This record gives sequence, C-alpha cells and structure tokens, in this order.
Amino acid sequence: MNDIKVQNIVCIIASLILLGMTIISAVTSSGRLTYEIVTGLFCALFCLVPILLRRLKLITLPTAFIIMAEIAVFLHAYGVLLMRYDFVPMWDTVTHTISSAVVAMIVFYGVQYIEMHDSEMHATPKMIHVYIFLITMTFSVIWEVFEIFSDAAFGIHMQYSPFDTIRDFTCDAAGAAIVILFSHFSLKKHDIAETVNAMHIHPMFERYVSRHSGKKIDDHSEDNKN
Amino acid sequence: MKSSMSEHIMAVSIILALLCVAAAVYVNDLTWVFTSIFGLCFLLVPHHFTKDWESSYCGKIMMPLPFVLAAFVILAFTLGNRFSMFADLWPISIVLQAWAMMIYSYMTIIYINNHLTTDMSRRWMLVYSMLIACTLAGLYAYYIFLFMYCEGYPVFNDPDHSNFIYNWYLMEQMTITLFFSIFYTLYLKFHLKNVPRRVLLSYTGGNSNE
Repeated sequence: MNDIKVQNIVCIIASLILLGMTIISAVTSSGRLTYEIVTGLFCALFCLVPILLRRLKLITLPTAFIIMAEIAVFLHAYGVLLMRYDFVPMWDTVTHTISSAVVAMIVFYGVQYIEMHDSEMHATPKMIHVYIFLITMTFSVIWEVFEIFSDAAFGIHMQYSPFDTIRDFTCDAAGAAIVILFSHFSLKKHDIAETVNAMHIHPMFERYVSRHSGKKIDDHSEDNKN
Repeated sequence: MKSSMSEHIMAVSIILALLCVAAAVYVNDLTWVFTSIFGLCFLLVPHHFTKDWESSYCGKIMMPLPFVLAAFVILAFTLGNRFSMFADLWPISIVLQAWAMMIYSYMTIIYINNHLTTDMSRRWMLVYSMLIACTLAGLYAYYIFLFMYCEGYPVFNDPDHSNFIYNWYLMEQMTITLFFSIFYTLYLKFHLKNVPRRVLLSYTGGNSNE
C-alpha cells in the first residue's frame, strides 16, 4: 500500500469516527449546539485538511506527520466529546504532549525546507535538533503568554495555576524531545532533499523563501561596504 | 568600530558580568546568576579560539552590553530588595536581563556559525538570538516555580484562591522577555544593518585575522 492510500485511510477513518461520535452526542443532548458538538464537528472536518491540501496541490504532508496530527486532533475531540478531560487522569497531559510533538514536527519539516531553499542557510542534523527545541519552546512561551493575556483581558481561566503552566512546559519539552528523536532517525534514513521533494510544496512558497534568502541581503551589504 | 575599542568593551563586560553574579546573589535572583555565567562563557570564546586576551566580538554587537550590566549592578546594589524576585522593581531587572540575554544569544549564534559547521543568514542569526533568549526565559520558569513552592506560595490548583496573581509571578519573566526581545531584535536589525556578515562573525583585535 502506498503512502497516499495510507494517508487517505487514516484521515477518512478518523473523520468518520469523530463525526459518528458527534452525531451521538448531538442526539443525546437533544440537538443543542453545545461546545462539545462544535468541537467534534470542527475536528472531524479538520481531519480531512491533509487531503484537501494535497488536492489543491499546495503540499503533500508526510505520512508520519499526518498520523501524529490525526492522533492529536482525535484524542482532543474524543476527550471533549466523552468528557475524558474531566474523568481520565493525565488526559490533558497526554494531549498536550502530542500537540507539542505536532508543532515540533512542523518545525522539523519547515527547517528542512528552509535549509534546502535558503542559499545562506546550512545546518548539520545536530543543529536541526537544536532548532527544533528552540522554536518549539519559544512557541510554548508565546502560547503561555497568550493564555495569561486572555485571562487578564476576558477574566477566563486558561491558566489554572503555576503548576499547570509548568506541566504544560514540561509537556512541550517532552513533545520536542520525541520529535528530536524522530528527526535523528529520519535524517539518518532520508536526506533533506528527498524529504522536501516528497512534499511537493507549491512553487510560490519556494519563490517566497528564495526571495527572502539571506544571500541577497548580505551581497547588498557587502556592496554598500565596498 | 576600532579593534581597541572592542577590546575595552570586552574587558569591561567581563568584569561587569562577574559583578552581576555578585549583585544577583545579593538580591537573591539566581536567573541573573545563570545568565551571567552563560554570558561569561561566550565572552571568553574569542580568547579561547585565538589564544589572545585582546580578541573580541565586533564592537557594534558588544556596545550596549556594558551599559546594561552596569545598570543592573548599580541598581541591584543601591536598591537591594526592591530589585529581587517579585518585588516592585523586578520588571526593570527582567528588561535589563532580556537585553543582556539577546546580546549573549547573538554571541552564541556567532559561536555556532564559526565552530559548528553551520551557516545562517543575518536574518536567521537575529531570529535564533531571540529564540535562545525566549527559551532561556521559559526554562527559568522552572526555577521561579521552585522558588515559589519553597516560599509557600499557592502553586497548585486551588478553587478557594484566585491564582491569577501567582500565575503572573511565574509568567512575568517570560512575558517581558518575549516582548522586549522582539524590540531588541528590531533594534539589532537596524543597528547591525551595514555590518557585513563576515565582520559580524569574526573575532577582532589581537592576533586574530581581521
């Protein structure tokens, strides 16, 4: 079975299960449009995004990434629809770790793409691991800052306690560590060009990265200097 | 900037970084201790690789550092407890620390470019400096959490207390560092605009090859 078939099967099955669970929830809640049902519907549709992106010829996402993203979306929707967040200990911790791993995977593939198309960028695999950690942790900082600002602005409770924040950070670091391990084996097995070419990214992104490549900026500076 | 000026800035920065450690211990803020030790390691990198005490980073990168470190040392020793963690002037300490961390992070990126077979454009050098500063601020949250726990603050979920103020204690460093590092990144972008990448990456003065 080729990768595309695997991707389609994973996306469609995840979407159908979530849709089924959402319908059952809607029936049991007398058809009211509750937060749980909206979340379920949104996640069911979100599971199909990788297929949509491929059909639009924007990007063919790697299978490993799709599986990780589908697990993250599925577990979140499952937790919301069946109250797993309230009744299963550590459910939040698990979903947060997997979501962080998805962010770290986006960083992993993004860094490889920039490495290939930015003429001034050259990174060893070890440095790619460092980049994954730094970018994921900075996203984590941005997210926590967003949470505290939301709490202050709207009087809600996105951050429960300092312990909750620290646990989120630890989950983010764990997610980054999982992807660093994955990237270690992935970079041994596949070279960067092979991975990037397999994604069939739309040429407009390539043009954007090349246009903002550092080489032109530095050449310009050197010219000014001389 | 002339090499001799860079060397003077370097020497003053090393002395001030050592004084920062003392000032940080005085105001009981271990995040400054770690930042200063982290910075000292990278301040000594040019000497380590050129075996020359007069070698330094490009003066334009180093220039703001002595002012930032001197401000912290003077304010910490004169204002004392008002500069310690969670005190009324702690945010000023964080702003100064974020500035120092950005410069130290830029030095880290120079080290990475020079010695770890990695190349980055100037744009990415700035972005990664910011990332290092924000990541360090994030990691400091573990120390702040431990400090809060040991001091008896309510750090766990407690339905009887509003935790916003304690959440803010934990988040203050990250929030200020995030916003000010963006500002400092923009400042460095314009401040280093006309300096060629080759000059940014070289160690100046002494027996170095500039």
